[in-house]
Amino acid sequence: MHIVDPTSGIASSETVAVAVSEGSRAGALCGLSNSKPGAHDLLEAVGRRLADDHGIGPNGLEAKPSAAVGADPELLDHLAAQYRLAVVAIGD
Amino acid sequence: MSDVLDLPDVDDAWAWMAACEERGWGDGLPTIPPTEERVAAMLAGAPAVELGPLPPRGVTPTLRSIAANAVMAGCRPADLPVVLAAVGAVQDEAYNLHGSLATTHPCAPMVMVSGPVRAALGLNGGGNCLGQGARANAVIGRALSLVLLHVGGARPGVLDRSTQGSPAKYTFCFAESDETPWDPLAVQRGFAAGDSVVSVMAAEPPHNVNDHGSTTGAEILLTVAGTMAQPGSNNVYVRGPHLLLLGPEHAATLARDGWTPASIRAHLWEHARIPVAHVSEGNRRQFVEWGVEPDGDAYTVSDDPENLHIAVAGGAGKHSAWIPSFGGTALVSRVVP
Repeated sequence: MHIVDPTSGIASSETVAVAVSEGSRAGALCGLSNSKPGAHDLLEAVGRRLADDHGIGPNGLEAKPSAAVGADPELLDHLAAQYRLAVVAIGD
Repeated sequence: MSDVLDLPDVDDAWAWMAACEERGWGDGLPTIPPTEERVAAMLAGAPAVELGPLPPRGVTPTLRSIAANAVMAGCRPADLPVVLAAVGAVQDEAYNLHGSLATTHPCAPMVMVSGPVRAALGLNGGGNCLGQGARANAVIGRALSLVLLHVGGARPGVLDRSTQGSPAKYTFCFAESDETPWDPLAVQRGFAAGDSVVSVMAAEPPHNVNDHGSTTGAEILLTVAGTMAQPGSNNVYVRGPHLLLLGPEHAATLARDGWTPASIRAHLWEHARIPVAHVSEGNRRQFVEWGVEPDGDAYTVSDDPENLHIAVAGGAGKHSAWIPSFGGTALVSRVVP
């Protein structure tokens, strides 16, 4: 059977340059909170554990301006330029 | 890149269901395979529309992919323009599609249809209009949900993070009733009476307002206000729009007593209040973080009387419905192309 792929469409071709060097661990990790109180607490704890147990850090902590909206492109560009990895929490 | 897939081992309905399940397609109910022939038939005479990328996946749908989802949902070609209008409407920035799809809240894309297209498609705005039974209601709402699932990528448990979801996520489409004593909602919003219009909102399922005993409009509004004054809706602190969908009998009583949508809106703004004592201390702190304080000894149910939209739908009986929203959304209306 031949079907039209219901998931098909035109993918975005936009890319963002990564500013952090490959060998650096500083600033490599960011916690991105959905701005709910539980998410902030959770990400702070994750950041402490990564620093204490694995020596990873310093770690950043960022948040969306509102839990009700997606992260806007400016915030995502900022994160991509500053960090190599983001841990996202919805910790409601 | 071709959008055609060859599924060599899929030769009957059961194999098609299994193939969908394997790929994470569909809503769990049976769908119709979107063969090239069916998609071509769906697109015959389809209007040209401009569409942007659908969050959270960020892929821009094509007319063919929307038509494929319409086929899967059970749409007829005549239904496609309403589906296209709904897809365009939820892409309005004010609707906040990304937030409404990825949230833990159970909101679903509500589609209300006004104007002549209702009769042409057999859309139900009468008895059981929010329930099952009318093909157009079922398949148009379902097609929109499938587009958001398949092209948008809002897969439950993955990018759709709803805590419990709701039955409205399968399909949530209905028509305005002709039995309204006032201007239809689309006309209230500035469209011509002859326009066919879809109005979308990221909405909770309807909350029933049962009032068999009241005999005046004022009494009915007391019951409506009590139904709206509950502390567990997003509207309390995220604010945003909500919809009062009056049954025709309640609407007739209200109109007989001189009530209009404007006066109903003003009255409910003053009387649908949530006593502070009904809100926990923790929630009060959360509301403050969202910039929401009580007005005296009670909270309002939204931030502005104009956020309450009023329409009429349903059949015989003494029931109405209050439809709260995700909060961070808007009621967006678009003409059907």
